[in-house]
Amino acid sequence: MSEAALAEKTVELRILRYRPASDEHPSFDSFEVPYTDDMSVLQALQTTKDMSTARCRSAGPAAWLCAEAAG
Amino acid sequence: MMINGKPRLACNTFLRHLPPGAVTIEPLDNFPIERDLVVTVGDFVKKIESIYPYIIPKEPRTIEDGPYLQTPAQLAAYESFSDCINCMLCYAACPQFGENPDFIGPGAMALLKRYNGDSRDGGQQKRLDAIHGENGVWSCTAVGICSEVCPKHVDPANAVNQNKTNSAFDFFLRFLRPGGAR
Repeated sequence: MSEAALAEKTVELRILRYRPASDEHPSFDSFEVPYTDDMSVLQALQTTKDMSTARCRSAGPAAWLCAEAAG
Repeated sequence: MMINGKPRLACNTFLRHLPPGAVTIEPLDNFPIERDLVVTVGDFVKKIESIYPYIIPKEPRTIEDGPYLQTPAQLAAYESFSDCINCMLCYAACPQFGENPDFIGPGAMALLKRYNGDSRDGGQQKRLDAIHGENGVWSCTAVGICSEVCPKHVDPANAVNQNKTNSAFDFFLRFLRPGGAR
């Protein structure tokens, strides 16, 4: 299977979020991450985190602010 | 953490073994959420500390006395209880701990058994005294789900029940001991 075909498979994670500084109550966020057959839930979570950090990189000097907002 | 509503290890749970569709991930049940999937574990650590989780020698020993030897049978008496990795899944599963956060809980009970079952240890009485109370071993109603969710097969439910027996024995034995009932 080509890498592109592998990357097409995704899994949806419904993750309970709670940021005490801004949230009154915990609530669910959905994330779509690439799926591989050998993936553990922990790896899926790490991928989720890496993806939201990567999105913030384009924010330049404000990257930390973006990451903070995204959690 | 809670994966599809069940307490499981995230590193040991594979997506391919979960039903197709969205995977729900929540922080461990029965603990206050600190942030996102992180829970506050301070109370759990205090409970672990409260049962003297170390060997209390029967009499003082020096380096010259050499290593403390044990037979395989003496090791087998407590070995399974020493496999606990403090993952707290048993606390997330335990309905009694959910009702009463002061309940000492299955993990600490298993650890207590690990030390009280050790032939080198002389601290049995101290530890039993720590679990006689209302929030000690007697808060357990023998649901048994702690042993079901344990990823290391420590069998905390078994430990709790042995502790109940020992706690009850100790209650009656104290009347026979010099000094009598306290």
